[in-house]
Amino acid sequence: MPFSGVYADAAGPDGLPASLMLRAAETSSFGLTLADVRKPDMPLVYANRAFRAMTGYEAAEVLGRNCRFLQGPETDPDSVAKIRQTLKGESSSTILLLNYRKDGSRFWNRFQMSPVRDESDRLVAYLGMQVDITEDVDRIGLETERQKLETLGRLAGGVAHELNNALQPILLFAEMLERTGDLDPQAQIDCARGIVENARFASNVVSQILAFARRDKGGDSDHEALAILTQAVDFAADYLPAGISLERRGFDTATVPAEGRVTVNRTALYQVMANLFKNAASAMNDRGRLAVGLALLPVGLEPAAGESERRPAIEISVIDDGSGIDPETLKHIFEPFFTTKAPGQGTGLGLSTIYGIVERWGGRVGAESVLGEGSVFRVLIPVSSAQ
Amino acid sequence: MATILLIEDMSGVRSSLTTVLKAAGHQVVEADDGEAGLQKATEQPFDLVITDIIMPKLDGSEVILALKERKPDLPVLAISGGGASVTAENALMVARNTAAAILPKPFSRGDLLETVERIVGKVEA
Repeated sequence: MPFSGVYADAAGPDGLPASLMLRAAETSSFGLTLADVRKPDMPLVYANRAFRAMTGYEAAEVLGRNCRFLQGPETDPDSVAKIRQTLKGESSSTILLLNYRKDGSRFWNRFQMSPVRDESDRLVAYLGMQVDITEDVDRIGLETERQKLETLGRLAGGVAHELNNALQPILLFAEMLERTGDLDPQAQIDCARGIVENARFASNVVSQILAFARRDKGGDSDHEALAILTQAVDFAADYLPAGISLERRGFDTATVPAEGRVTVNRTALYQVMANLFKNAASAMNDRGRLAVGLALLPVGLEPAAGESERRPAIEISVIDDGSGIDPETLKHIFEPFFTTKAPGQGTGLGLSTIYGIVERWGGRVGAESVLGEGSVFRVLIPVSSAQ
Repeated sequence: MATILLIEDMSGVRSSLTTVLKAAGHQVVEADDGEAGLQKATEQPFDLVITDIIMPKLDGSEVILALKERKPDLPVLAISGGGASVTAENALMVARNTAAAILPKPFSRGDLLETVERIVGKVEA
C-alpha cells in the first residue's frame, strides 16, 4: 500500500509532498502510469514524461484511455492474460510485454504493476512502471543466435569427422572386394565385415545426432521426485568401475519432501545420470571417491517464459575428485562433439545429450571445476508441489 | 615396394588401409596412437609414415613435428577426417607445412596408392 501514505500527505495543509511526488515522478527514467480502477475500463489518469518519451504519445493522447493501446499484433496473449489475472487478484506482478509506440515501432516493455489502495484499504488505482529493455532482449537474442551457430558449426565438424572415419574403411574395403583377384576368401569376408561394422558405426552417429536434435516433449510424465532420482542413481551406479566409491547425500525426505514431483522421461533421466557418472569415472581414471547429492532449491530456476516468479528446482550434483577441467574446456563442455577423448573413445555427445534432455524439461545444467582437484556437475530439474 | 608405418587410432580405418597397402605389395607396421607410432619409428627403418591427424596421447601434428626432428628424411603422409575443432585446424596447418602430402578422408584406393608411389618414388630418386 505504498501510495496510501502519499495520498495522506497530499491531503496535508501545505500540499508540498504531493507536488514533490509528482515532480519526482516526472523526473523518473522509468515510465510511470496510474490507472483509475474505479472508472469504467480503467483509464490512465497519469503518465509521466519517461512514459511519453518511451511510447511517443502526448499526455492528451493517453489520459482517459486504457493502457492496452500499447498492445499490437505480436503482443503475446499469455502476457495480456497475466495482466488480467493480476488485476482480478488485486495483486502485483512483473510482465515482459512486446508493446508498440505511436509510430508503430515495437519495444520490449518490462512492465511492473502494483495495486494502490486508499486509507480504508480499498483498491483505487494501479501503478504501472515501464522499462524499455529492447536493447537487452536484442543482445540476448544475438548472443543466443551466435552460440547456436557456433554449436552448429562444431556439430557439423564433429559429424563430418565421425562419418569420414566410418566412410573411409567402407570405401576401401568395397574397392578391395571389387578387385576380387587381390583377396583370398577369408580376406573377402573380413572386408565385408569391416563394411558392415563401419556402416553400423555411422548409423549410430546419426541416431545420436537425432537424439540430440529431438526437442519434443514426448514421453515425459509425472513422477515422485525422490523415488525416481534414487532409482536413476541405482541404475547409473552400475556403470561405475569397482575402483570408485559412491557416496549419496540428501537422498531423504528431509531434503526432498515426499510430495515433490518432477515431469521427466524415465529413460532419459537414467541416461542423464549414467552419462554424468561415466564422465566422472573417466575424469577419475576409474578410481577415487564420487559423491552424488540432492538439494531442493526453492528459487533455483529462472522464471519460465512470460512468467515473473523464479521456479523451485531439485539440484542433482555429481562431485568427483578427478583430474578437473581447464576453464577453456569448461566453456564448451556441453556442446555436441566437444570431447577431450580420442576419436573412437567417445563421440563427445554425452554431456550435450544431457544438456538437450535437461533443457527440454525446463531445467538447467552447469559445471564447475578446479584443475587437479575435481569437478562438480549440476543438473537442475523443475520440481512441483515441494513446498 | 615400401615399408610403411601406419599410425591411426580408428581400427576400421587402420585395417582397411593395411589391407589395401599389403595387397599392393607394401609392408605395413601398425600403431594405434601417436606415442606408439613414434616409438616404432625409431625401432626400424621405414620408407614412409602414414599418420592420422587427430589421435589420443600424441596428436598427429606432434608426431609429424617429432619425426621431422628425429628423422628429417622420413616422409610423412597425413590423413585427415576433418572436423571443426581448433585442435584439428592447428594440426592440419602443421601437416600442410611439414607433411609430404595430405589426403582428406574418405580417399579411394587409387588415391592412396598413387600418393604413396609418388612420395616413395620421389624419395628414392
